[in-house]
Amino acid sequence: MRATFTTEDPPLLQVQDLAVYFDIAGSFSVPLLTKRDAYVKAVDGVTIDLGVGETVAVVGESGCGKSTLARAVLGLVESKRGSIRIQGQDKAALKRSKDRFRIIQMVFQDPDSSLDPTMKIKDTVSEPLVGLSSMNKDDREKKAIEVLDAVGLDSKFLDRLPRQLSGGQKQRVNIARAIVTEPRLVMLDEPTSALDASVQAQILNLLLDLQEKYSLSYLIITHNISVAEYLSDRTYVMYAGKVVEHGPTKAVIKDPRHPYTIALIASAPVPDPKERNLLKVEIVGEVPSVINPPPGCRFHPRCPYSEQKCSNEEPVLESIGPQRLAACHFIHKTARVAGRTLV
Amino acid sequence: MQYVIELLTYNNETKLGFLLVSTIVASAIVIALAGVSVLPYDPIEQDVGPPLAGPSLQHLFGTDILGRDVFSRILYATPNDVFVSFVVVGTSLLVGALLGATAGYRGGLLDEALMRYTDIIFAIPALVLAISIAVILGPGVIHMMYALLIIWWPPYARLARGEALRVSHQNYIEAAKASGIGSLRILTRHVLPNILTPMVAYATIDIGSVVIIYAGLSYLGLSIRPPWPEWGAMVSAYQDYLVSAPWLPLFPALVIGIVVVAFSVLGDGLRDAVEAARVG
Amino acid sequence: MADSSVLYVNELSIAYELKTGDVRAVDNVSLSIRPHELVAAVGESGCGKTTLGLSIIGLLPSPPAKHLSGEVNFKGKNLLSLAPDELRLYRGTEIAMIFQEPMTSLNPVFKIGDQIQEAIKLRNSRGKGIAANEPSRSSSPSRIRTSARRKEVTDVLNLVRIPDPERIADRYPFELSGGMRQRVMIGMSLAQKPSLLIADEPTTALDVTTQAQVLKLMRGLMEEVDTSILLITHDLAVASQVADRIAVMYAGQIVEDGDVLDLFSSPLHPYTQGLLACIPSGSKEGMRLNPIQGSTPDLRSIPAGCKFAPRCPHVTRECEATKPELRGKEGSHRVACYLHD
Repeated sequence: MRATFTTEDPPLLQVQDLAVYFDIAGSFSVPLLTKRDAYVKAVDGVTIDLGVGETVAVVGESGCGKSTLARAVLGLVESKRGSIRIQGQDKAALKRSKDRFRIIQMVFQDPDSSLDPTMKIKDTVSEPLVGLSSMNKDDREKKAIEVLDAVGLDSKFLDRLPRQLSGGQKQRVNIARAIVTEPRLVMLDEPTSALDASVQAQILNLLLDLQEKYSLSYLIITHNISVAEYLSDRTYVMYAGKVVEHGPTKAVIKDPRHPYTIALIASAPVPDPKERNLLKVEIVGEVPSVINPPPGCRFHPRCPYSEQKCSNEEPVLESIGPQRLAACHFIHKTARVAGRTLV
Repeated sequence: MQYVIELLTYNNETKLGFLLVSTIVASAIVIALAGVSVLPYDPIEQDVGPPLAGPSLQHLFGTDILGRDVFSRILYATPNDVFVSFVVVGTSLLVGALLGATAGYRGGLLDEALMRYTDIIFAIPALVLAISIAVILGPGVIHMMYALLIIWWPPYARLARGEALRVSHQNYIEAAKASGIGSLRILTRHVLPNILTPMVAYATIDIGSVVIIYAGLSYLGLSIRPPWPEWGAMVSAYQDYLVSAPWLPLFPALVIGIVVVAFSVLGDGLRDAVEAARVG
Repeated sequence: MADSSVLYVNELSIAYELKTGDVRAVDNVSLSIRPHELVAAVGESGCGKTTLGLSIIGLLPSPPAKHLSGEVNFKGKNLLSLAPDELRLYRGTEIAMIFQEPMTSLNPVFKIGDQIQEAIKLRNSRGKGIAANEPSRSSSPSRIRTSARRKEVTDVLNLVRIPDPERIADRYPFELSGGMRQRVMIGMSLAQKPSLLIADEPTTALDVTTQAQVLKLMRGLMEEVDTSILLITHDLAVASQVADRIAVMYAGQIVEDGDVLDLFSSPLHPYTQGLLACIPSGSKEGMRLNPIQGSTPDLRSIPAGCKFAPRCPHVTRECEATKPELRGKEGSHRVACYLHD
């Protein structure tokens, strides 16, 4: 059962039952000896929608597959199964045209390694235009100046090299590069994680300004609940390669239902010494390896509500309220838990 | 350009090394262009002084059995070694960088083929291989260079491949791919520039290594033919005089040593400078 | 106050010698930590908090760092006046430190159990720790003692609540997750019952849920192991969750410090207020974030006067002329700002 929005325009992005498996290099003995798959199931059946003008957050911790999901949408990794439709068109069909690169762009994690240290800023920012348009060098430079200005960097940055820039400035360059082709959708992978608090705030505001100015849609990948809350309309929560909860961001954060979401939100440090939620939270275990995920529900070894059924049968995403989905056999057990409190 | 200056002035080693190396290279160029006229004596002219004379003001490094001025002979041989080593290292750097970078970035069959081929070359002692090739081709500077070129590029290819592997996983490569940039442009515009700096540091030290090998091969008589001077050949020709007229074999050997040390010092310093630039 | 405190940093100033001149990384910092107290040094990159931590434990490379003035008093003794050999006796036994990247703190080619054993051996040779009553052992292990040693290792792993300690002791660092490795580091540090644990961004590289576990563990162990903690972090929210007192640092100075409840209920320094305003809460439709204008100063060219003046919304001419100092009694809510004189 799937619940989606109905809007006038076709959704900008439609990912359906996407799976991305990575071969564990070399070893053929592993499957023989252990009788198990030698795959890293980074993304294992994920369905995501994003409409025009929306900001959607994909929230999860390391290893949940959110970055791989983004890479698959960009076409940087091959998918094992499932479909990706951009503006209604199948990605495979788009592959021939370069449109896919123009319509969707990405701001990568870690501003330091996202910029070629040997390339001047103006060349880095205008590079996407090289492959995707028939602009000549001068036009490309003009466009670069325009987007750099839009992100708050004046012309003296054109001829600089990345090492002459601060973390915040580098991130602005990344963002400029992502919007230079006038995309419809910009994916951002941990856009503020590597930055200082004051710079984070500046970048977040910049993203909002740019969204308005250029009519952008955003897909924000982050482990930071506060950033997701601040920027997004809807949120998907991922765990070990699967979506475990989905809904309007406010609802998911104020009233989390899936046990993992509850734990995640309870762990997010709140800047309030009177509300020391961190010290009360009880989370056991570690994020699981996705090479051989536990049978049944992937969260069950750490779940305080799990029962026998959970280790046998994998739960599917079901509607638990207006526009809300969760994958849990015993979702009714979490019905009363509200907000950022104990599990 | 500014980056190059930063590297060259990084520490005392680079400054000293650069000074020595530029002197050597400048001398090589001057002598190559101007020829015999800038030398005190004609290097192959006999009896310009008394035979087997020790070092003096007229003959700084003395004279040999045929009365030729040793200093002029050593100077005249400078362009020989310098150019051979630059050509060998330069070509190896280029070929190695292109092959290694492509192999590292693309992987697959090309990578496997390159690795196995370089494995074979590494398995055979370099000198033996060079000598064998030189013997087959016959003596002569050009043939010597061919022999060296065949064995010299594999380390560069390996170095380039390793660096290319590291670079290929950087986010800016992914960003370029995500913008539809083709492999060729990624290789030339992103991978190659980012692997060159450490390779150049290695190449600088390597020039010294070529000088030694080349001098060694000349010593064995495989390169230049008399009466034209070459440092290694001179050591070979004069070695019998080690006791009676020690300046004869010692000065050429000393010059070989100084040239190698000069490049090593510069290369060593550059390596530290590149490391610092990478970390800092 | 200075007598009952475990750590009393007094007017410490440290500079780095760069080619372009000296840079003052720590500027006249005074800080005290009492027994069983968790003090958080909070600030953005370049504020000097890491330099402060390293200088307390004596791990600052000097050159290029040089001590300009001030003392680091640990249980009454000025650590900066000790010879390197004497200082080394404190490190690991009285004062311990853990860092951001547990992967580089653990030796990848040795098993966890072996590394913990090594730390225990070291501690025993200095005669301190959990087994302080037991006589000093020789450095070469003997068969008779092996099972006792194993028990010591599992004791350490149990201390940090690592499940299945016997199995984990036989693992290599790469087989453990980041959170587990950090817990091993905490265990190794605390096994020696130091009086002060300095933790430099211990959870920054960890997932959110793991961070919560590790912070809760650290806070909980303070009583059990009888230690104090200096937590160095850039995350004010994290600090608010675990600290008793917070010292806010900017450009090498402490601009505000005090009890965590006081500081959050009435932040005095404009920088502190700015930092709090930077934390996103609620959605964009609610309140827009109000980030601090400008960027962190270049320590190589510090203007005269208050270092925060160029970015301060309440700046006056006095602020630009002379630098305000921390006013107030040690241990109370102090601030370095002319607005609150």
